[in-house]
Amino acid sequence: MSILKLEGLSKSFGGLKALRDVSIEVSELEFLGIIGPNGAGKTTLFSNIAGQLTPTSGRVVFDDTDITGWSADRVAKAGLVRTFQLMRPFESMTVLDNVAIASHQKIRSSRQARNHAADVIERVGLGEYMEKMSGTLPTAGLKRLELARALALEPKVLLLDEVLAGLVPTERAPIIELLREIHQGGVTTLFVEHIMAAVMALSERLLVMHEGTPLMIGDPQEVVNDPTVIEAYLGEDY
Amino acid sequence: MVKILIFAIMAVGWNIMSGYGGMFSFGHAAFFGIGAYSVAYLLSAHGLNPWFGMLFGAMLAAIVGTVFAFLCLRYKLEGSYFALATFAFAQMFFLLTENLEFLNRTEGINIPILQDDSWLMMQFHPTSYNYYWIGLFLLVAAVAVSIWFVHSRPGRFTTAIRDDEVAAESLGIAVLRHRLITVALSCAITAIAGGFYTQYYMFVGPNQGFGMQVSVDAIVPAVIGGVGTIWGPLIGAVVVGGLSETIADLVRNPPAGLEFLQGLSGLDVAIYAILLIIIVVFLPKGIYGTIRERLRK
Amino acid sequence: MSKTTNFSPEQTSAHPPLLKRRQTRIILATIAVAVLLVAGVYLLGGQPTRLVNQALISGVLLGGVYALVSLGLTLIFGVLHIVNFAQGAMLTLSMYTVFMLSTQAGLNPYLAAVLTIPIMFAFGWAFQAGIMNRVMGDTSHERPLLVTLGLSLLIINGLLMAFGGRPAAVESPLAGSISLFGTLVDRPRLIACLGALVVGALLTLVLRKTPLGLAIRAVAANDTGAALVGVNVKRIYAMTFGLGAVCVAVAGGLMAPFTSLIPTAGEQFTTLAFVIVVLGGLGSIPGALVGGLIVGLVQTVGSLYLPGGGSLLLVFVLFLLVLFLRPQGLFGAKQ
Repeated sequence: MSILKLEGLSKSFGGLKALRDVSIEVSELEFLGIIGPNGAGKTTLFSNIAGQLTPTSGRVVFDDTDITGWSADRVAKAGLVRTFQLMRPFESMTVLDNVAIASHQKIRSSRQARNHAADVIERVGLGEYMEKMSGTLPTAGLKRLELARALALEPKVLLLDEVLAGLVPTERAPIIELLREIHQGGVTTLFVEHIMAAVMALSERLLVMHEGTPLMIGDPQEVVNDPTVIEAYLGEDY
Repeated sequence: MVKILIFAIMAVGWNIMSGYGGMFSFGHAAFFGIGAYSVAYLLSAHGLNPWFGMLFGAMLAAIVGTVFAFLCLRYKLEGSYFALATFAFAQMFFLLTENLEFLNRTEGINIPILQDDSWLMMQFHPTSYNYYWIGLFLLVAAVAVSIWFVHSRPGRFTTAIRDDEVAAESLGIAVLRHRLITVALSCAITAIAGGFYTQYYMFVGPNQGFGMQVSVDAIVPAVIGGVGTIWGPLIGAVVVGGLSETIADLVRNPPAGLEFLQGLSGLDVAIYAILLIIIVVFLPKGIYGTIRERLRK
Repeated sequence: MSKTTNFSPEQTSAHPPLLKRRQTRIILATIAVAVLLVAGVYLLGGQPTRLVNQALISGVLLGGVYALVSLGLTLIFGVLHIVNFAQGAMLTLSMYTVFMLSTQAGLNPYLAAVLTIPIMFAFGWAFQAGIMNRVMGDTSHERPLLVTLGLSLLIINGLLMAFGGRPAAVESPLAGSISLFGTLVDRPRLIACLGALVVGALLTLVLRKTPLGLAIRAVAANDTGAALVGVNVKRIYAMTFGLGAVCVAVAGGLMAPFTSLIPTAGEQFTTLAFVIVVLGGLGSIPGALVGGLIVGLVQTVGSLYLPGGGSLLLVFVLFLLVLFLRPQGLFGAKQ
């Protein structure tokens, strides 16, 4: 069954149509890769789903509830959580506190929230940085921190926006492995990414966005070999 | 000494909203004045007990502050615009009191003086140590509340919002609600400092309550000590308060060779203005904030 | 509030145009509203026509002076993106400089005012180059704000130490009144208002026609970009602050003859200048001129109905309304 359903989602900024009539269904526990040239509307799509932006028209249905126009915090609490392409740590806090903020959404008690956060931090492999100030983490660490904060909310659906951007190839492999584990742990995942190797390795289905609208969706191998998709990418580096 | 305590309570209150909440207020005089006038008016016109007056003032300030902050946030006033809005807000209260008959316009309100010392009415002989104890108690309470707040769930959320509003919201934090909680708490504490001021000086006028200098007095100790830290405002208040007492002494009885200082007014503020500039330029985290950072490394 | 796209008026009008040509519509609308209001006051206000005349004239004169003080503030904001809390104190400093030059050196006050211009320019330039440039550039807007606050306290209390709190006065050789539209107009005030217009025009000319003006406008629009094409941004910052100080130097010189000179004399102008530039649009020069006129008129016409500080209260209500409803001001850049 579908856990996330987009129905005719559109978003305009003044005259610019950033999203045009996007309709997709994502089934429970699916891993959906999303690719597309720069400016295709991938991040805008996430923002409209997760509540940073309000769609101009169309509906977002999550877990049989219409969440169109919900505020971002409400969407996150409901279990639909996104990460940001640019890492946004709370710099004045330790890694543990960063994650505990998220744990606190489900857990009132401060001690339990911290314990919960510590577990998640161990899970993403940041255990040794637990008490470090989050601003001091290297890029790969910040990526893990973003994941940890999202996971601490115990999401049903995770929207990942270019988690691998800015990492060198040797740093990518362990994160890809981590994403696989998270997915297999029971989290439906939408995965916007430019690194095709990662997309092909993880995705069960692949969506291609082009000029704000879905160009094609289906089996990853078939999609990347489709002539229209290749044409859309002409001039891009793929 | 009591003056230092009043400074300190105000700075602790200001710091919650501006330091931890990241909403830089240039108009905390509004809330100080609400507290001061609540006590003065309710006591002089209706004979209400000043302890209740203080509580009432705190509640009123919290409500007024919340409504104002809601409007500011609703219309997305940030940065310089927020600072200017708070500044204008305090000025409005200043002008309003100057024009309101029941607040005695520019004359201000005198507290009716009692024959005997009274804990119930918070009034003692001007030299009584009891003012000192009450001030100290209020300060300890204010610090305790701010420590509790910073470590509480809403407090942590507030800090997260200050660090990154978008990230905080995407982690499920209701941004507006937590900002308003922070503002309410900050305004209430500042109003209590105002109420205590009235009781100590037995008088409040538009300048003492809502004057621009009051807003400055709330900001400067916190900035000098360290914005967004628990102990910064206290250290700052001691520095500023100590400085102004020392200079007051110096001006009253200048040592040999410095006779020209006799009766000179303005020296204390001029010196703390220089201190303020030096701190902001060279130690942007304040005295305590800088020391803490050095120790951490 | 729910849709946090994290914009602030500062960002939406992050680079407000210092000068903008096509604002005819706003100007016409503003004039129309003002004319309607004035007509209302004449016809329905229940005040003698002579009083209204007087209020209008003094409102315009007052507005001219306000505009001049605000011009400096808006210029500094437009380029440096900081709010100068010391604008009023710098105004007081200029007035005391004129006072010193005219009483100690026996100069004509208007000649003293001219001499104050380079002094204040140097002061503003040195303050920006020596201190403010150290706190610019990071994302925090509070540090520059706090430094200007410190400067304001320092000037006011420095003057208090030097001159004491007793009011001083500068005698204008042109004191007296002339008759204008059947009302008496104080001559020094008329001169001040005309001076404001001249300085406003000169400033516009400098910004439009000179290489310095071009560089200033470039930095105002995009300081990183300006740096990339070889503009020394910190130098432009210092020049701009100097020009902002020149505005108050002229204002101070022209106002000294009709101001009771105390160290806090300028403080109210800081507040009013904030109101005016927000009204006109932070960083907009025509905005500062129109905003100055509006505030001057609101104050004098309002005082026909609200005696004492009541009309000033009206000004603040106007301010908060504008802040909430049109934070970019009348002439600020639209989103």
